[in-house]
Amino acid sequence: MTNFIDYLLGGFSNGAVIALMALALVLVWRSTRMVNFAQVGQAMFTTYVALTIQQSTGNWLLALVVAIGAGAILGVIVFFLVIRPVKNSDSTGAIIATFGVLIALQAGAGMIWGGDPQGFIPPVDNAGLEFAGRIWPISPYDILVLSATAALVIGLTLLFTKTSLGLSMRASAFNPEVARLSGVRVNRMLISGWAIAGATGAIGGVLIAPASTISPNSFDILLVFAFTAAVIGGLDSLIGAVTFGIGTGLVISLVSGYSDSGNAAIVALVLLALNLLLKPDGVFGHHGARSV
Amino acid sequence: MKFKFATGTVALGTAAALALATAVPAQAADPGVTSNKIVIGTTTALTGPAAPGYKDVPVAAQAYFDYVNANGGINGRKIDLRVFDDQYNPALAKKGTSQLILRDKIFAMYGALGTPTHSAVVQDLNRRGIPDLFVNTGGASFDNPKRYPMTFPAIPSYVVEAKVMGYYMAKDKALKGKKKCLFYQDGEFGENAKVGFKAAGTKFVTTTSYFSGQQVAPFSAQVSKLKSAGCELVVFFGVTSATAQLLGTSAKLGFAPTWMITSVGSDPSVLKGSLGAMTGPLLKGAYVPSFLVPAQNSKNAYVSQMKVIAKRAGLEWNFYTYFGINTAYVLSQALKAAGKNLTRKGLVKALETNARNFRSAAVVPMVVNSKSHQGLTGYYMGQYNASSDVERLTKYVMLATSSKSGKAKQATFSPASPTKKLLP
Amino acid sequence: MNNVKNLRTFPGNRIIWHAVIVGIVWLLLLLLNNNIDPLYSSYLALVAMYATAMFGMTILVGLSGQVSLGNGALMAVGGYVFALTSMNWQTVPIIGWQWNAVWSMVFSGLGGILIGGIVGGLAARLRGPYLAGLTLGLAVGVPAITNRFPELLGGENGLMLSVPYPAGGYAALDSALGSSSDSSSGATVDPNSAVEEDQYAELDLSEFEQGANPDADLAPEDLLTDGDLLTEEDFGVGDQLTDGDLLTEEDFGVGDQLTDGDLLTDEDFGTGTDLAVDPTGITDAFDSGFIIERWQASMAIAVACLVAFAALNLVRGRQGRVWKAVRDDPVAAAVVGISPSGSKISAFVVSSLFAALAGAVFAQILSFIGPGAFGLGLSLSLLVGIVLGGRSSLLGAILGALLLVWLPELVDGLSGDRGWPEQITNNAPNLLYGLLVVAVVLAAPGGVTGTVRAWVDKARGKTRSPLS
Repeated sequence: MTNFIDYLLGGFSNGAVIALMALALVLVWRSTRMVNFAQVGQAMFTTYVALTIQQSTGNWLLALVVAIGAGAILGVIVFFLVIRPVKNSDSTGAIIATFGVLIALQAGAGMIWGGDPQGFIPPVDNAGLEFAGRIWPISPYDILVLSATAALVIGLTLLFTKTSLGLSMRASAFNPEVARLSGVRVNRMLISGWAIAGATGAIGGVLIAPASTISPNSFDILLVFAFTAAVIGGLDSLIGAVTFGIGTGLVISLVSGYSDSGNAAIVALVLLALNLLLKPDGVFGHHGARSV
Repeated sequence: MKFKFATGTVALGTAAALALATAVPAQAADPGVTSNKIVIGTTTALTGPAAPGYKDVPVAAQAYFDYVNANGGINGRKIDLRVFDDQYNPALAKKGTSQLILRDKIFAMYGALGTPTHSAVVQDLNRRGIPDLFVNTGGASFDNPKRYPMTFPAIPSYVVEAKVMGYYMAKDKALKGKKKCLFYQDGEFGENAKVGFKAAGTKFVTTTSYFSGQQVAPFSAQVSKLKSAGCELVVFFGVTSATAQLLGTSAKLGFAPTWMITSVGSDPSVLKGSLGAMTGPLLKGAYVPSFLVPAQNSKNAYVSQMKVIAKRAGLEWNFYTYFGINTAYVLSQALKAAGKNLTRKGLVKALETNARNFRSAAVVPMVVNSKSHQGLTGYYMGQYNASSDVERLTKYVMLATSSKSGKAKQATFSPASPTKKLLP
Repeated sequence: MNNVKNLRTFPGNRIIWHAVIVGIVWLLLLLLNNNIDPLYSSYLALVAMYATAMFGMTILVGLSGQVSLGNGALMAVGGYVFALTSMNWQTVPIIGWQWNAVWSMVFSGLGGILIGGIVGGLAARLRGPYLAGLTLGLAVGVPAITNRFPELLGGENGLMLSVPYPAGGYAALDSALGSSSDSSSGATVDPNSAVEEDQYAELDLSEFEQGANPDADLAPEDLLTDGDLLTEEDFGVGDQLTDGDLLTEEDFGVGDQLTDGDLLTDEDFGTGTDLAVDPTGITDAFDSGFIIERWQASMAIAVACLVAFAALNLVRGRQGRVWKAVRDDPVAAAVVGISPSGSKISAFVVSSLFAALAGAVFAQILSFIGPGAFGLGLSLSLLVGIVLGGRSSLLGAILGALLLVWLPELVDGLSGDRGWPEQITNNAPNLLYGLLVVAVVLAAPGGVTGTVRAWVDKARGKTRSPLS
């Protein structure tokens, strides 16, 4: 039983990071109806920026803030240089373009920071908490990660449901023509969507780095898990991304603990396939006007 | 990729080479050898997830070859190393090897990295009769002179390493009574380690694993499992980035067993990059088998001289640099031993008959003959000190073969001194 | 809507024309293959292999409008079926005929059809991004499965194939190497399996043994003390080195600053005398007149041409118009009696069949099959190729295959050794490749064929979307 609780707790903090990346994918989807494969590359790049700041100033908060800014800027750059030119014509082309951006970002990071993994010092203690005579796999830092994730989801949900910016962004994504006719500056909304997504991914990257290491390819596997979570959740749903992001973390943890870690990818594939069989638009997805 | 040395002997060496060129009559020879040049090729991961550490190996080899070239080369020929980045992908390794053979017209392959990558090319290299020297992997399959007469592994296999670990754990009073557990990377690490520990008779309370790439997330579940099983000694078989993750996660969970780490997953410079200030306390006391003189033992003539070469080429001194220079040193001696009339068959024969006389920083015997291409035959047991340097623990070394049965055996071995000025 | 109207037109005798066209191309390619450097034959083999897989991508992505990030995994299925059948079957099951490589190809194709049916059945219910998610899972999950069954599938290290080369091929070499038994039976070797063999028993290490009782505990004298540490004075054999024999920094001459003149350059190697060599890289001792690259290319070309013939007939026949009709307007297609999901599933089955055949060819080119060669990177490469080449025509698939092989050469050439620091040089090809992919998608959204067609149409005064 304590094992089970250990696996669950361990899975939660892993899952929170998957959830943050899934959130970033959902935000891009909401903004431009496409999947950004460069998302983890952008997050990796901004995490390196944060690492550089932290190494030179020793200030984690400053590093986080700079990473968020860099993430937003990088998101906007990718949007302007790559997404806007291809987006309207072609979703497959957009996938390939973001894939090209991912390769270029990884190579660029390798050029600037080298290929060896580097550590990231956490702002608060990352040692497991002692309770009832034993140490549990949850640290003050994990609690920080989980609270940051929760705060971000609540903040984003409020943004999209309560503020005019959020409502305009949703309108622009759903039906740009109608939104434009109602006076929404659609282009500005799309840019905001990419900026917010980039910032969210940057937060995810900075948060995962202390629990792990950073290298140009270190977030690759996150893309797969985050995308899986976002798809199961319904791509449009913030709460879906978070729920299944954490769920994916739990599944990996439980499979690694009870059977063999190598089964995790297979279990994830089976769950994904079953889920899409039962819910082709994701669990929290809109069913809307399905084509035949 | 080319690091060149400033030296007054360049001109001299070139002159000597030219003089030789006129002396040797034109003859039918193998590809890749001219009167003043030997072209060799390597495929390795310079980018991608497998690149950390290993990307430094060909650079270090190049530094040594530059030094040799600047001092007249080998039998008047200079070594021209061509490197192909295969990103640890077998398909790219195949493409790169084809390019090296057909476009660069290499004389020999050297230091190719990885079991899956090299599996895609080893048959072809042997069929063409291209010497395939010092394959950089602990997979046991390439030591097979019947099937691969041209192929020579660079390091003892993981099977040998597991047998050595098993031998030592049974011998050391402090370790033999401990509850032992195994943590490995899925794939060849795990498969080979299990064979070795079975032969050594090591019993584990529990085993667990991670998949390549999983080290991006903490090993919470695995460490919890090891912890709740009451493991007192954990043997780890995996890559260095995963060692960092394992030690970090264990510290977080307050799990502090005795560690025994595979030699390929234990480079302190990469660990320091990942774990920072925690490296010292976390690594202290961890056991690690090794076959080279400890890299920080600057009193040793091999280490001190190889450090000079690394320093002059502007390279960071770490295990991979050390290993790269050392392997290049052995290759140079093999090429020299093959004689002025350099042929592929001659090179293989030189290795099979002379390998024992080659000097290197290895402190275990190098055994190569027509029936076995194992090369380095074992390990000594080392231990990390407080400054994260490996210290040699056992006076003896432990030798083993990659066979399914048979334990490691204790042996003594005194290596020969380096050659003059570390030139072949 | 035009496509829907055209459904009733029967293709007529196009099949004969297609056979003639493909036959001529085949002959020309074989002629080319026999007259180029073996290096280019090896590229030709890769192009043909990629083209085989990408004909399926044309149908799936271009005609049927379904995105797939997982066709590399479908190739892996074909490759593993090829490896396992050629390893384990001596005769064809049920029929009992003698086994050969063609049968392995047939079963690879059947495996592809089976997997394609399953995935296609799932995929037909899904829209764009969900389909991308499913196929991405496939690209990651299928290679992971091989690690679960190391006994059967060879795990991460994969399986080595002894490719059944034609009679005469490598037989002489193999017997020279003492492994003739493998190639005649088409056996497969598991790189891990060497530990099963007895050959290591031949290594005798007894001369080094210390004769210590292995069961005894570690004695204090077994432990190394400072006095035992090796220093240069401690070497047992060989010359005693004097200080003058040791390499020091002084040996590198005065001055720490290197000047350009001090650097060894290619010129320092001189022109040298090239010794007579065999351009194929096969030395006299092993020469049998057999050039493996040519064989690989001719095998890959044969499969590519057969697949191209099938693809031509499908694409330009009724089925092609069915796929396009469903892609453009599923409702209208349903009205004229076409099942949209049936059409989508059939596109998946066909592309899976082609992918599996390409995988079987790839396994033979590599003489190896393992998860590392069939990962997400391969799946994404196929999509890159089809988008860059032009996704709406089979010619685009061929151009895409050419680009996949040629682009890495181009970026390597552009970013070759320029004396930059190591970490710049190492990453430069990938950076250029990524940027080039983005640039081509931006500059030529319809790929090469789409863009050329748009130019032609523009010249003729017509307008249409580059993607149609």
